Amino acid sequence: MKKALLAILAIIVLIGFVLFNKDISSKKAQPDMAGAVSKDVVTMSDDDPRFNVWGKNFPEHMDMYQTVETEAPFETEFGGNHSYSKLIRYPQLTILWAGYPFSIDANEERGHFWIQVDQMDTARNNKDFLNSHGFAAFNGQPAACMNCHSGWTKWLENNAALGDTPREKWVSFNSAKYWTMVKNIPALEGITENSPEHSGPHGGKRMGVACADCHVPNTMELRVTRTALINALTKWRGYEPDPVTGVKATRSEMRSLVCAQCHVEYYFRPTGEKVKTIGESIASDTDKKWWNGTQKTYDEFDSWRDGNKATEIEVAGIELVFPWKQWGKNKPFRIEMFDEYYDENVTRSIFPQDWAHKITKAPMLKIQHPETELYSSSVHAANGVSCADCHMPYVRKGSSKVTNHNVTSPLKDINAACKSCHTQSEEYLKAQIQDIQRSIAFDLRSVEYATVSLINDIKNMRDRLAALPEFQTDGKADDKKISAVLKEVLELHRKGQMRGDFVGAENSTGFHSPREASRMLLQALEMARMGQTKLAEIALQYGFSDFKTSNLGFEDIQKLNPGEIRYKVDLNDARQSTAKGHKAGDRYYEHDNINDGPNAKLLELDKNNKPYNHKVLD
Amino acid sequence: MWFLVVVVIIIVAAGYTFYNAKGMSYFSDDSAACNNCHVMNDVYASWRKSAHSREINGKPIASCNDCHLPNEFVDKWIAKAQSGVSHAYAFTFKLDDLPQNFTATKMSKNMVQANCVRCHSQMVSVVVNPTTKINHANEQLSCVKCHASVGHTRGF
Repeated sequence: MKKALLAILAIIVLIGFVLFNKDISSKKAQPDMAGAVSKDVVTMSDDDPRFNVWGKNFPEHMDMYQTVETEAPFETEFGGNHSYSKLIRYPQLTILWAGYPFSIDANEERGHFWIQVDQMDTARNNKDFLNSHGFAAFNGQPAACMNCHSGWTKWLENNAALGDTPREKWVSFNSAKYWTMVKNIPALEGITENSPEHSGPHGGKRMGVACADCHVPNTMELRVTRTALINALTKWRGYEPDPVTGVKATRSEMRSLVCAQCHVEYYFRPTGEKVKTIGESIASDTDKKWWNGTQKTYDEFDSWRDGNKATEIEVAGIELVFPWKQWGKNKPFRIEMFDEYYDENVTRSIFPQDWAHKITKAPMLKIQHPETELYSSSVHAANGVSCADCHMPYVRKGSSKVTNHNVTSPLKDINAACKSCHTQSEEYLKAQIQDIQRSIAFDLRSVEYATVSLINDIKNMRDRLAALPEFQTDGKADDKKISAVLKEVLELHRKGQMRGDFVGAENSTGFHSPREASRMLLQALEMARMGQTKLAEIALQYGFSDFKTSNLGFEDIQKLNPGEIRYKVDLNDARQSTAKGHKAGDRYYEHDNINDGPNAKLLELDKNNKPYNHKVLD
Repeated sequence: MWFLVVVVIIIVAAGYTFYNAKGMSYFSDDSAACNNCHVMNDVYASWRKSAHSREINGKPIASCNDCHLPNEFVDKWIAKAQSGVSHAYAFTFKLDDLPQNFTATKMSKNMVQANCVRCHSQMVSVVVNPTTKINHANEQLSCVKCHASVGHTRGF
């Protein structure tokens, strides 16, 4: 018995020795810089931007990049990569964005690998679905949307867009229809034309951000490839252009500028000129109609099929522009700069609004994801910390350190992201982040609820004014006359909501610059309440003695929950390769964990956050 | 007989492991020995840039051991053995759990503090005793709390 015990003990000790030796030997075998040196298996070039090809030289980087493809979705308190419906978590958005396609479909984003897949799936990019949901006026997404969603963007701009000069190609690329431009992604070596791989995310038409978007082929130096950023930096922000790296900048600046190619506010500026671009022959096929009977001008599918061919057409040109005219070099961004930019005559006369608010008729601005702008005013930025420092922290790969190419929330690895500089415990650091985000979330919810209250009151006022004879033309309410009386209030709606939208669209719940976030949210709250005050004055002027302002809270807002997206009518979804027939009532998304509700814990957090329940939250 | 075979196998395995792990180097005070492991690359590199690594008569002012182990003979070798075993255990069984940035344990902090005071006693004897427990009963002030970058560019 004793012998047997000794034998087992001896075996355990021996296994321990073997494992320990194995580790030592593997460490010794690792050459220096193992992770960051090209394996030189393939030649990398801009002619072939597929990350599957570049990744052969950098298998570890490719593995990191693709982690998000297979890992289970995770939620942080206000982010993560579980693609739940933001409209279910924050139902106020359906009112704030009323009349704009975001009000029917807005999901939490789930990482660079998926951005093209998600853009092809979203209902905002599904014309028939929008037609049948009251958005027939929306003309379909332009290729300008692809600027930030595809690793093929530069290739398409250079090789598929029409025109002789880079400028002409740039405008031609942006002005094509999204679904037309996607069809031009080539089937390079190893991929068969119109095969599942050709439609897929691994180098095909659904490939998201790729290595070439941020790296120079072969030297792997950081570079800026996106024309819109190069234009904004050289025209307005004092940078010099560079033929290789896009703009002249230090490596430390580049570690943020590569992110600034997309993580910014932008708009599609009409150029005021006609431009040649690619069209589709389906436009002259009178048998091809949208659900509502109007003529199709493009096939909502990712390939040329059924005899549909590329044509050359002339359309009104648009261009992707970052509104940074007022933002000087080495200065923090301030929200007032957007007011100044978008209200300048030269801008407002050609770009008066992103959309007209369905309920208030105010000319609205929709802010996208202005991480670059918000971050610039932070204490981290003042200390020279770059985006990559926190979102791509160094991780050990054998004997060398490499930046983590699974670009993600720093909350996923506080040790690697924060503790390079901060020496406190991970629990302490996490508590600090939580405290900042919860306080900004409180401010943001206050602004959103107040803005919805303002929208309610404007609607009420519009209805009352519409009943007065002086606001009628030919016996019908005259929206223009009503809007003229409400002009000041509608401007407060525009500017205030833009501020809340800025913080809501910005991916950090204020953490990127808490002081600036709370400064603009305080303004937004003032604007919403000031709008209500103005309404009370107008009520007084027109003798509505029983006019009341509203003040909605969490429970009122929850009643607006739209639920998961479903088809309203029977629809053949043309984007499916088999043109699947969907019945009214069918769930729109094919995957369960997209567009579902968030974890119940998050709703509980939101409930306690506004009004702030310190007994639970602290 | 059977027992002897096992003992011989274990001795041989232990011997080989000792050789493979550069076991002899751990009996020295050479800081390079700590850097046998890649996880030490960062702290070793930053120590090389710090004032403490400056060499006088071919010896650094303070090696890893001078700060991170007790100075008394018996305590030093007990601490060394303890660290050696726990490091070997961590690298063998918990390699994937190792964080990018390390945090000093309570024991390690105490040893560092004792060593700061040991070398700099002339200086600290005339300033307020940093180890006083009167005002800092739960978390006494330590030297590296303020002088965070004396040993490495980044404090721990």
